[in-house]
Amino acid sequence: MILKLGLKLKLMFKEMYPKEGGDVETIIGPSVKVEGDFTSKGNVTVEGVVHGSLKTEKDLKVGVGAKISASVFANNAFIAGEVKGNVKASGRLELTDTSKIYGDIEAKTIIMSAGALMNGKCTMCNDALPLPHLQDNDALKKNNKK
Amino acid sequence: MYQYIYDAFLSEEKYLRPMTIIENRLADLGLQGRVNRLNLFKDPRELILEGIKRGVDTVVAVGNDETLSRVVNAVGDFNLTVGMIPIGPKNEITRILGVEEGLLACDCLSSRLIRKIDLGKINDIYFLAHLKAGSEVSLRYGKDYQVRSLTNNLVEIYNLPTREEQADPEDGYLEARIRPSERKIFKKNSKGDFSLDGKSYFPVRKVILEGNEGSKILVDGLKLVSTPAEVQILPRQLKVIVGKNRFFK
Repeated sequence: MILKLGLKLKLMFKEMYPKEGGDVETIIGPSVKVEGDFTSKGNVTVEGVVHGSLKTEKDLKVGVGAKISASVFANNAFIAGEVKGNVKASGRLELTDTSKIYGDIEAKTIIMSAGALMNGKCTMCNDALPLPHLQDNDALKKNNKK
Repeated sequence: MYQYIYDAFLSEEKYLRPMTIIENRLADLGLQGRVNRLNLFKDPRELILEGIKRGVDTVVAVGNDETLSRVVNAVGDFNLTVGMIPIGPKNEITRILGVEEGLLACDCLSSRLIRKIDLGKINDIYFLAHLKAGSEVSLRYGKDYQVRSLTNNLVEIYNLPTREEQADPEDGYLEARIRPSERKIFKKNSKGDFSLDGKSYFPVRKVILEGNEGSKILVDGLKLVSTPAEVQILPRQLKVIVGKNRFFK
């Protein structure tokens, strides 16, 4: 029983802070503003302000206090804050009851809690969405203009 | 062959006896070598160049963090191993590298546990441990994006870990932390609130630190550099003799 509980806690911690395995994690804290085309190959957590575009090859977590005015691309995305822009996730997109999305969303799987605000078009597809390559800034800029 | 670079302050009388004990211990361990003493007018780079001509492969900084910093800046481009014998106060970097003070440092040299660690570079100055600046300093990642502080923050970039901050000097990244200058005792912890004490973490390979006119960056707690300054990582650039009690794996 204790072992099972320990394993569960360990898995929960790993899910929150998956540092092991060489992934470089970025945390944009509540007292920070990022302006421009932000790209990352690791997991990204946003608690602060982002203007421009935000793209990661791994998972994205947007906290309650976060304010994003950008188009967002991620593998999986968990959103509890505010996003003004289109959100694309190649895997799972989860919107909590505190989330506010002003833009289109696109994902393979969408989970939306009661109370989540979403003003935009919702598209779901069976196949994982191809993410634009990290170096392909033109694709990001095109999406920004939209 | 070893080359020992003694700091100028070691000529003070209170260090004569400890230095004699250390020199005897080095002789017992068979680690004798060329000895040079620094002073205001002696450039350690010239001393090391002369040492290389005579077959030196290991340079040992004898003194404190400032001595080590001067030696690292002189060694930077050469394929030499750096060792340390910390003496006196201000030896935080050697402690992080696991090298104890006095006779224990001689044993550490003798065991020759060598690690290739990343070396930071700000403009043309090498740094081992960290950079620190105020909230007016922002991070610019090329033409792509810029990271600014919204409140009164401390901007810190780490290569080596400290007691409070984790960093891996062998991962090929510097770790930028932007944290509130005042620590909150009570912190709301609701669902979807992930940040650790309001800190921000950014991996850094190359970044430009920009600030207002007169903004300064403290390098390894020793030197001040004005903004704008280019900061980059030189992965696995420095061979250094470390101790078992180092702060990293």
